[in-house]
Amino acid sequence: MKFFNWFFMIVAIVFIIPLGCRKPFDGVSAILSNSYIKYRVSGQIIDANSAATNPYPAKTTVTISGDAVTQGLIFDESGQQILVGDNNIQVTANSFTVVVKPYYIISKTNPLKLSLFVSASGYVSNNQDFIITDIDSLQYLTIKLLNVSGLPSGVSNKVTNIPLSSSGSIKSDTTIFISNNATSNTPATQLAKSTELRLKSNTSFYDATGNTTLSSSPISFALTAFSGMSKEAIASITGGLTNVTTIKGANTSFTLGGAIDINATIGGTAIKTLNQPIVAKIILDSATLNPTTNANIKVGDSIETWSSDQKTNVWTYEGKSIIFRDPANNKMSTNILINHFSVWATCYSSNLCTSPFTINYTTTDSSTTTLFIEIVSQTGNKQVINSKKVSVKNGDKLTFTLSQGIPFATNIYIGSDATGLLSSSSNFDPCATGVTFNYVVPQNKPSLFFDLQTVCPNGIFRYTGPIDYKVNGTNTWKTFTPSNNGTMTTSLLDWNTTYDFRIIYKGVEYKRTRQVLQAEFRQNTAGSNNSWSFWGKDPANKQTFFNSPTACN
Amino acid sequence: MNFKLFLIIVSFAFIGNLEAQQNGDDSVRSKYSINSVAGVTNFKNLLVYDFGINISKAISDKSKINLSLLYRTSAPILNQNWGKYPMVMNSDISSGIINFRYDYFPFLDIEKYKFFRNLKFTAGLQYVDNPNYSFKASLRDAVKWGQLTFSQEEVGWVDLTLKTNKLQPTLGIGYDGFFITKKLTFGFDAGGVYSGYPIVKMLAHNMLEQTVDNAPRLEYNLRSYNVIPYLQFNIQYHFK
Repeated sequence: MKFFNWFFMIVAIVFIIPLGCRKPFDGVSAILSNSYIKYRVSGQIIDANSAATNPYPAKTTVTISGDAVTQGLIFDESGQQILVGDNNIQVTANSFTVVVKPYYIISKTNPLKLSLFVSASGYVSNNQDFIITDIDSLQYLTIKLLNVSGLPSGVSNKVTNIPLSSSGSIKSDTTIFISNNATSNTPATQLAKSTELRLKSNTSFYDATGNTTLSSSPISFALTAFSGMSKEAIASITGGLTNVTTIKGANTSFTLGGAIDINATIGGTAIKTLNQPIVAKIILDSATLNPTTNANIKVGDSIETWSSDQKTNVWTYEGKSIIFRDPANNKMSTNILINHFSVWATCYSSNLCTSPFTINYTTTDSSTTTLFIEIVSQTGNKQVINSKKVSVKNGDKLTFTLSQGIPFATNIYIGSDATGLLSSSSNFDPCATGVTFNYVVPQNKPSLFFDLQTVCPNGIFRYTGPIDYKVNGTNTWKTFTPSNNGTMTTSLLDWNTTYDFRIIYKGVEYKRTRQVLQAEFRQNTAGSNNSWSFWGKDPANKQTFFNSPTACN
Repeated sequence: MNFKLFLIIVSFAFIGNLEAQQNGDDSVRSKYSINSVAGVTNFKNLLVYDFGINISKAISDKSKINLSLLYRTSAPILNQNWGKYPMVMNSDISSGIINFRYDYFPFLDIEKYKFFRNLKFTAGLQYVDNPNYSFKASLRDAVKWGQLTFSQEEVGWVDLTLKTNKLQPTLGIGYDGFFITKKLTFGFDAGGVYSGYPIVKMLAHNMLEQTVDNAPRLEYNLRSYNVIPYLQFNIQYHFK
């Protein structure tokens, strides 16, 4: 039997050996990411005044509407469908994120068109339209609200009461002056001194249903004037001036001379129309571009008048007016006739280029970079024609809708706004179709790699989505490099600086404060000499710079 | 695990049969034989089946050489937990195999226990045309996101390939000659195949895309699996 024992012992050993080995799937885990969200829109609501001490309006509400909402294509980050209705977006720390239904394919020719209505206590509400195209994987929106008690440069506000006769009409000719608001951003000499509204006697008013108001209570005007000389003022006009919808159906873009938003009430009732027009004198920047002559405006030129329905963001052509030099202040001016109360603009409309302008982003850097791209008119007072904040990686394409007949320049800043490093500035002919922008990481900026995986009890979570950051001690959150499946490479940080980071995910704000210490990074063997990966303080164990949200479910 | 225990138990169950063969004739000395071969390789919990034919030629009193042409396939599904996630792994394993083996019968001359005359030690080399173990792994359970439930296609899958060597040496023991008839015998071989350290290739899709980060870990774990046990049964027809 000894032979038998030896023989079968050998057989047994052959089969037993692997039983003592490591199990193949020890430590191997399925990793689920939220990368199934292909289209994400991240919005931030801020004060339109860049000099505001607190840039974040309190108690903001956001309503999103459009066919895509009606069709059930818009969701929040928790997978809850956004339903049609007021205040249907959850706002957390003045930010919100909406996503398109996972695996929904957006047609190249039929992008999703959506509208936002944003309001906050003490601020002028804002309407903003936006489009999600098939290439907009992550789109940033900055919605600026006007604080009536702290307006940005070029925007002025006046609330005034005008007494009415017993029949509810203006007793005598009345002029309202709206002095302009010059701040440190724009020299006062460049700003219009004032906008005037001239109301004739016996002007009577009608409410939204067309009924005459018979109250003898004074009419209360809330007036906001926007100067075409201020970038902040142009950016503050509700709905914007680029690629706007007109009542004719075709979209257009405006070169602004000036605008005024008129709201009026009598005894608490909103007034919409009047029996005879108010004359509004708008002061114009002498460097305003007239796209029809491709030169600065001059006396005798005509300029268009448009009005906007604030609820629908649809603009209506109201006619033309002649430019004259105001003898009172020697400024270029024009008089427009106002026959209903809404936003009125004196401006030039331009048809849109048939093909968008495309920036092809190339780089040898493997990281995603956040850029702010501003497209301005080369001529006139260099108004902003279009702008975008984007996070891009090599091979991405950025498209811009531009106006016919206007030569333009592209200014590309590294970072989330025009305070970043100007990386490129180039001029283009009207309706140029595209350019390649090759980004080279500045030598003085380290390229830093981070692994932001979060270990959950039931696996590993890797966050995909936007991240905000700011230098510790400053007020305004800026858009940081987004995380893609829990990894991120950025060249936006400086050594030794302490930053605040935040991720807003599923309605919760996660904040971390970290100093970027070179000692906690290890130099990458591949790539440039200035490429580093975060390791942490413990030389034996790699750590996470900051955890992604623990959305472990 | 259970299968291995099963094999061990079966191996010991042969004891009775072996004893019954102690007085049998020697079949080893037949000059030529042709075998049908059916075998199983156990790659962790995955059963890999080899079957085909084998031609043997005695080259001395105590040794013979074998040439086998085999076809490899496997059980269709391997269930595994990847972390807390139960995964269904559909296997895609098929290959032709050419196996050359040398058998040595060291006990052929013993008189007392004739049964052991047919005990052999084997060494060989096999060429595996497609030495890859391929799987398509997907989550067994549905994934919910708020009001939506993702389909298996939407959740995604992991294409997993374990690449081994094309040339694989073998070492083992075996037994020839449980008689069925005078010319027909039944035998078996068991041992290990050195297939090299498996190289893991992982390609994941959709929501599972980042699972590829686990490839190095899986490859590390599989370094223990460079020797894979096998067990083959054969029925030989002997040409005298």
